[in-house]
Amino acid sequence: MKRFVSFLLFMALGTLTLFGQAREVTGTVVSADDGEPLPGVSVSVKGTSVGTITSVDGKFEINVPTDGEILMFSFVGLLTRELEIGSNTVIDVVMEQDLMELDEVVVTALGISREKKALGYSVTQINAEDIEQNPENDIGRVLSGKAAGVRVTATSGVSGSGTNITIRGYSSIKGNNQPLFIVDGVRFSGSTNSGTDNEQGFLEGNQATSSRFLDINPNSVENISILKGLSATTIYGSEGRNGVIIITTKNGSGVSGKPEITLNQSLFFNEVNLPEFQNSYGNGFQQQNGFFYSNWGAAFTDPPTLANHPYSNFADPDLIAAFPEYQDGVQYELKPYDNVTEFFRTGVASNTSVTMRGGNENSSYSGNVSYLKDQGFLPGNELNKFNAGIGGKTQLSKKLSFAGTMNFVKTDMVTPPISYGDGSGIGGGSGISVFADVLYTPRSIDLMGLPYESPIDHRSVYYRVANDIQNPRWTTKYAKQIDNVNRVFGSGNLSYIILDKLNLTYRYGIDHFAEQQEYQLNKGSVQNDNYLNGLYRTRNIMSTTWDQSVLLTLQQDIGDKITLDVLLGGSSVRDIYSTDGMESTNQLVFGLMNHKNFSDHSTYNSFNQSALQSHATANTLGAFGQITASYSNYLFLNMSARNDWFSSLQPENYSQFYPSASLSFIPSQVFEALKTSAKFDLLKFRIGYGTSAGFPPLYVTESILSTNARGFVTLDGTVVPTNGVHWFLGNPELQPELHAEAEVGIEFALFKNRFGADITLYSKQTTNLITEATLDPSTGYARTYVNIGQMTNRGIELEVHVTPVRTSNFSWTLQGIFTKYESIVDELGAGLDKVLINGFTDLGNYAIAGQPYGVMYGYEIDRDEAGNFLIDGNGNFLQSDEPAIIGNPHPDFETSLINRLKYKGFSFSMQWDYRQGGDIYSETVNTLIGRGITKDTDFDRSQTFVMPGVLADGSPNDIQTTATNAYFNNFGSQAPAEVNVIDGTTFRLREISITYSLPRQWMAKLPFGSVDISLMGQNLWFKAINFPEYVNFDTDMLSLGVGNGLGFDFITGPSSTRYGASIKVTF
Amino acid sequence: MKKTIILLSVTLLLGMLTGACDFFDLDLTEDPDAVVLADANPDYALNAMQVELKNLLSNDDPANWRGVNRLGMEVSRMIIKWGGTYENAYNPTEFDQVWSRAYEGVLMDAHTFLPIYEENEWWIHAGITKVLQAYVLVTLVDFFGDVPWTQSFDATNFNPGADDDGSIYDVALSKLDEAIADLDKEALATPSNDMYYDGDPEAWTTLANTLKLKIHLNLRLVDASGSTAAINGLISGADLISSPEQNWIFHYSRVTDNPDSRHPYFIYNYLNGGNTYMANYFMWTLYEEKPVVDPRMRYYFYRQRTESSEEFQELPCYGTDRPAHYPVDLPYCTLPDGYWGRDHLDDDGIPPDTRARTLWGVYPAGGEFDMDQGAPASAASGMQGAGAEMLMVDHYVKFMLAESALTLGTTGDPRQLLLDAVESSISHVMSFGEEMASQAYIPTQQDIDDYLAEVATLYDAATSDDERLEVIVKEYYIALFGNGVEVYNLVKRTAMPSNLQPALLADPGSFPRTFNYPANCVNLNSSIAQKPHTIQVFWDTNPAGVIQ
Repeated sequence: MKRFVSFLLFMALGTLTLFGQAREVTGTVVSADDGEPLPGVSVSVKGTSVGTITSVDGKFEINVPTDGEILMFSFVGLLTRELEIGSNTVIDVVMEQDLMELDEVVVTALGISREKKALGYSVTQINAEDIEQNPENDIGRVLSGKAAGVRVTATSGVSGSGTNITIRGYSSIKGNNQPLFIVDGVRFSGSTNSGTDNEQGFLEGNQATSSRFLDINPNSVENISILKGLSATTIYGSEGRNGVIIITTKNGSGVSGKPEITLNQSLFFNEVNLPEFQNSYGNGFQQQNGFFYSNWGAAFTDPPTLANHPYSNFADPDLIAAFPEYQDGVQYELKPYDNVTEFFRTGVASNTSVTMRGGNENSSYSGNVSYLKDQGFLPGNELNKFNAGIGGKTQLSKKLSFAGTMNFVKTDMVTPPISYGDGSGIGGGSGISVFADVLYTPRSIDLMGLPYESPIDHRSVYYRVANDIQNPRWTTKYAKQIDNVNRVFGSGNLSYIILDKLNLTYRYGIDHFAEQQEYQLNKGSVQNDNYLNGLYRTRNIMSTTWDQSVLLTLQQDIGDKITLDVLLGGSSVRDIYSTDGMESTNQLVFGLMNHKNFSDHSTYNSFNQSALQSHATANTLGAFGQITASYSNYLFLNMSARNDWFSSLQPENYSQFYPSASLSFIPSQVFEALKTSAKFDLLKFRIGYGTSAGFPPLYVTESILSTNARGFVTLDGTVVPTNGVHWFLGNPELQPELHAEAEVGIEFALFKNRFGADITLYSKQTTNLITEATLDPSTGYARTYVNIGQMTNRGIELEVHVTPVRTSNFSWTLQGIFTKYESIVDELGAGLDKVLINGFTDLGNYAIAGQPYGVMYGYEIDRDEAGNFLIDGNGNFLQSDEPAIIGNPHPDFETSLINRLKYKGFSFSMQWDYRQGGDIYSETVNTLIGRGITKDTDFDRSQTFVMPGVLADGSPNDIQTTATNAYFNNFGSQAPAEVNVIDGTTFRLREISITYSLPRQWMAKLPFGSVDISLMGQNLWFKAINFPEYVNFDTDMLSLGVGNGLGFDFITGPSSTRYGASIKVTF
Repeated sequence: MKKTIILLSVTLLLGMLTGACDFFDLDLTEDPDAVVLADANPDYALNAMQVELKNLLSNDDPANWRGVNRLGMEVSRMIIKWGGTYENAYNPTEFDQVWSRAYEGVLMDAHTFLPIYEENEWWIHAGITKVLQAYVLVTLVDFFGDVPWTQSFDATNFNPGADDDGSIYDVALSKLDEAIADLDKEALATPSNDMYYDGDPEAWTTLANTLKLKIHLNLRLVDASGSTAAINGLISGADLISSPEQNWIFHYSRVTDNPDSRHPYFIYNYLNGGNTYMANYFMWTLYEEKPVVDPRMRYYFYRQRTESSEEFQELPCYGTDRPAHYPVDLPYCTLPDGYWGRDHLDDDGIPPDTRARTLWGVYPAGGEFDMDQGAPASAASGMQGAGAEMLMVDHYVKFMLAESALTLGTTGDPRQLLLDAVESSISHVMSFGEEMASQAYIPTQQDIDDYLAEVATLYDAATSDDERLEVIVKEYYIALFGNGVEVYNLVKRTAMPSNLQPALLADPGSFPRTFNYPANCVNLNSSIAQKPHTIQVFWDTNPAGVIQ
């Protein structure tokens, strides 16, 4: 793998030249390990700029100038060799492994490959073998726990649902904290187009919307480089301020050689993680049977108690008429049914991918095609993804070269709608949610045995008298959220050698996608009163990003010891984003989803009153420079600066300059004692300081009016238009927010690199924070953007590796990753004492001065002065008058431990994750417990309970309540929020994989280059130790959708375990 | 060949860089999808204020979108609030939308567009806007006490302090005077969509005078002589709402979508078989308290069943003991003949009783007329939501004048005013529901006369002014069905009806004399701290704790 990277290094530094016609030398490079040819080894004539690389079969051809004397062979991970040319025309070379592997080359900003040791900042590189063949096809989720400082949270276990990624915590209050994706050198939109820009988006189904980095095929990735700090990302401009994930695809890597085809086929299963249910008590309340929402009925009996069939109890005579078979005393058995467990299915995901590449010394080409069919564990959920891409590189002349990639992706995702659930249906939200009622299905409800639709009008039917719960099976069949994307992205790179070592590059990238979103709800739904007659919404998004840059690079040696790399550049990014759509209500014919089959049409999304049509254009211009100086290969200085001009701020504020610098010092290459020490392999200190700027969302500097052509329709049919002052207050004074970060780090390696560590400490400060302040409406406005306050974000990242055993046949490596960050809101200013980040005003994440960013705010149990809980006249907790801080959603720290064992052709890896702390408010838990569903409530329910606390007169509470009241009122969704905040400490077996590579000697007889067979599993086991044991709650879920919300679960679905097998064959 | 390639590449490069000026355009601050003030149609702004006013009053849906009507009716036992204690019943977030609709919805637009109306000499627009301002300000004071006004609508102050509630009443009175003056001027334009009075300046003037009556009646507790003089002045001015044509009503329609223009009470209850519980007490007041059934009964309530339940499953309180603090002559748990409601502040879980509960009837929600159908309601029932918002109608005025004549001695005979008021209320309700009512169930003149006679008997039997006031208040209370603003004021002003049903818990905490400030006010505005709901509005001088 690294072979290709070193090739990149050559490309980027522009040292590949092909002139001088003295004599030709050819040869083959093979590995000392197994005698196999080595492709991608760089071969150069020492003291000149003449060089080439070996082809796939290890062969090279080089024209040695007349003054050339020595050939140098170098390759990452192998010991560099120098050989006298003499009069030889054929030179064959055997290269040995460099066991220390210290000269790792990583991809840095603008795709420039550098030796890791030269960097003054922290970079984590993840290679193809850790990414490909993964059961997760979402590149974001694949990164979970694989890099210090990177946090990945899924919004749901549903295939294709959104993924939240943050690098080094949170630095902006309301701004985007998601990292920038760069694919093959150009910007790639990873946005989650959830259809709403306001923070209430989670109410309408934000969770089910895909994050657009889903469009990347993990099997086509060559490597991923994660730049975390500002000193690494300054030249990417403001978008790089949250870290940059640089992805080099196989098409973009430009490796040449003899044609090679790789075939990858995998099959994975996807199983939902469900609670463990109790089977002692059934549906009812207060120990009495009845068709309630709750499961506080009488104990099951053997033989089962009989009741009138629920479908004979309907209040609606039409429904009675629809089910004659259940009338006239038909009995229903009250016993535990396999309802929820049978509702879900085992998902199956199949992924086929073919990659091909080849070329000669002047050109290379590659192409790949892949197809994923991922059927979720939730009936009605499926993700289909087709990727096709080509890449190539060619030397047009001695001085001019061109490289380009072009990719097409079609990602089609469908799922039943998922949105906020409050434990009693969909609560305050507007959307439909398949999960809202299913997990707490009372034990005696035969979900899978009862009809779910009326044979007469297809209306949803279920067990309640008033038929007021939508049957989840009806939802999976007749309600859909569709997200279909056609995306084309690619890049071109034209490079011209002006002078020796002076190189001009022009690079452009285009990323265009058309995303078609649909919300389908047939008539006959009963979950949301507003859409009983059906809803159909289509929304088309067109997004185009043009990313162009010009780079001038110069490499200059000053004397023997100093080398200087200078880079000057300019870039232009243009984003055009537009949406349009239509919403129709009142379906005529059941089943047909076409606007013409609906009688009412609107241009608004009625869930959140946002207009379906919108247009936005933004231009960002940047000018940047970077100087890298190295002294004697042990001291490296990197300085860079950038100026951005951003089109959506007023001219007086739209320009921002920000510099950064970093220094790397390697004592182990300076001091004799260290150099010659047998124990010490590497010791490196680094220090960096970087700055960046954040720009506000578009169109927030000017106030506007709200307009509605249809404000009201009167009795006589007059349509009344309205114009009013918009609740948003524009702020023309708005300025960029400023980020500054200092980081220091130590890296060392001992005992021939059998033990090593990379430790980073950083402190990042954001000032002039661009904050969407929620205002008291008595100001006349609801929201505005302001520059206020300051946030500090500090953290530690640690990566340790140990190799306890390393023999020629067997090795065992342990890698430990530790992440801790703390984002504190130092001050807010502008008279604001708190800012709502996400959620509800009385149950959400807030920024409060002096507190961790995003603390959870909600109602507490009321307490007396001594701190005792106050109990009301019914024996239940009293709720506090005002909300208070009820939790901190950020984990204290997170760690991963990755074990890798290799024995001959076998390799085994196992990743354990541990998360310490991080509070979660869980509606799933409080509902399952408060409604008496899980095994946690399998106790003697005839006993009475006395809640701890004191009564109004100060005496200890002695009011006895029933099991139903104690749990329903004090733990259920009616309870003060504080009760349902639980510490999220979790152990997790994130991943196991076993791979067997067939021995190469077998291959000689077969038409294959290599065959690898793997078994893999993801999220195989987890245990949130402070959660009720049988709820089996996965702390990795986030119900607030992709954004800055954290620590809230609103029943948006369980997580899943994926496992399966794959085979990889090369030809 | 090479030269060609180079040439081609350079051309391409230059073309992309220079040809695309768009890439360098940095002046993109204007939202291409938005309208700015300079382009606005000020006439449409008046529509926006009018629509927002009805939202402020009656919005009613599960997402805590409660209008002031709902709050006032709940605490006055007209409809039911879930929650055990007053404390638990009301989270300050429940008032957020009221606050938003009042300030962002009506008052901000008024503040912005009034200068434009005045400059353009659109005097009718200006007058209407001022009437709306006055009404919203008074409503805010009545529900919350001290509220922001003088420091509001300033883009540089995110923390407007609250003004003294009395001073805001003064502002409202002067706004009404200004409105009357404006409405008298020669206007250069008339509103094209006045949804209340079709742009009639005289009707708005009458309303402005009537609102002054309402304000002065509230003020009678703090300034009896001032109120007496003012009310007598208004009576002699003879420009108060006195006939149905002058009623201040907002009419909903049957339009279901884009936007849903039906009455929110209808939408929230008819589509799914019922959300809001009617109050057992209020239904009992009409059905059982007097020896005659109220003629409005079938218009106010629609029963989905005509028999009461005895099943635990759907009526968990059935057969349980009446709480010790419940007077024996008041209803508990259930009423006869399928009148299915709940008791005050009952916080028991919600049983599966939708499509069994009694719903809003034809008046004013635009629902179904009760003809003993006993069938579940649906979106197609009755007037299909074409109900109305009764903001200020002629019989309210008569009741107010009766109360004023009795307590202040203003012009008029309280007994006659009371009987006139009841009679107009009945005829108002009956004519509203005429479209749906079926002959067999329409009250006969005899029914009406019997009812009026009963009221007269009760009044005549009263031996003190307090007892007489009790009769007037009870009748006004009944007539106010649907209007939470006036009923909340009536209860606070008179501390009557004195037999309001107690909460199920013996100690439900204090009755909200004003409501807590909304969460979006106290949580976001550092100048305003939360206050207990025992705080009384300045005009409410009744003793603390007098209302339970």
